[in-house]
Amino acid sequence: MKSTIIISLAALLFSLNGNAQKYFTRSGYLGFFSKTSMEDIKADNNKATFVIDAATGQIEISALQTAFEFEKALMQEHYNENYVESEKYPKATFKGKLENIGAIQFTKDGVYQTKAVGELSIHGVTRTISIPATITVKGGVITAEAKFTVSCKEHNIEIPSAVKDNINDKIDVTAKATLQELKK
Amino acid sequence: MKKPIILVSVLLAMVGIVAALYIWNKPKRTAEAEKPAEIVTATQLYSSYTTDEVAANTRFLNKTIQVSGNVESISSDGKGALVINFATESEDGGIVSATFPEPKDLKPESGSPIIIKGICAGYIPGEMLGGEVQLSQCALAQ
Repeated sequence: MKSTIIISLAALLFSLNGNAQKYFTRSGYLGFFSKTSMEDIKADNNKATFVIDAATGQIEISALQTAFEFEKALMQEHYNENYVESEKYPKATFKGKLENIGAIQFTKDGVYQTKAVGELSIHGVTRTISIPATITVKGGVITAEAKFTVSCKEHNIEIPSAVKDNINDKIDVTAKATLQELKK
Repeated sequence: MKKPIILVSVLLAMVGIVAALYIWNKPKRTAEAEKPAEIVTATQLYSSYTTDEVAANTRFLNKTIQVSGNVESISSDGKGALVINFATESEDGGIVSATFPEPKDLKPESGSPIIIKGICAGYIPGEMLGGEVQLSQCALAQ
């Protein structure tokens, strides 16, 4: 009996928490960049989904591989067919948690440094990573931003020896999104 | 005797260079320039993905498809290009989104019927919000 009361009280408190809210976008940016002395390769995806649960700190980012746009159509074709094999693995996802979610006040202006720890899945390979991220709240607008590096080798993405001087194994990834409140 | 051989090799080399340049600079795919491989409604497309994502990808992924349905909302992608979101009548409130190559002065009203062509990019399941089937490089179907 006592425990029921405690649980209901906890549930009540939880629901009153100002952070019991989700923030999202379906138009987030995910870009990557490979730099070598031979060539710079850049691709952008402006249709990535970002969702943050402000109560639990749960964060999810998803992007479809064929929606990455390259400067050259040929690069885009090679990326999808030979490197990430989009037909087999159409999505890239990150599922994790923001470490200090309690310190982030989504309704109060500020710049909050955090860390997203979770699982990054690319090309059928899932790895646990930790990504330093910044959440900025300014005049009610919430922006999430992060930069990290992905190794092709670690995700079983083979770079043919003929172009190994043109493509860096370490790819710089940028994530940026303006989030809005999820109204259900 | 030697001259024709030289001439032929020079010609072959030139053809090779032109072909390589053509392939390197080949234009980006747009749905506008392609015939649709499938014609479906947004509701059918979305339910194919929620029923069996792998089968739906085999049928639609990376293909130009023609999609008809009712406009749920208009938005823009991260670089400001026009996105038309189709309603899907699904329980999770999922959508089919059609992203155009650039901003477009096109404001179909919410609820109005529309037909577009787009290259299917796949499906993002909605665990925390509704799912989304994405179409890219879209154009209005004539």
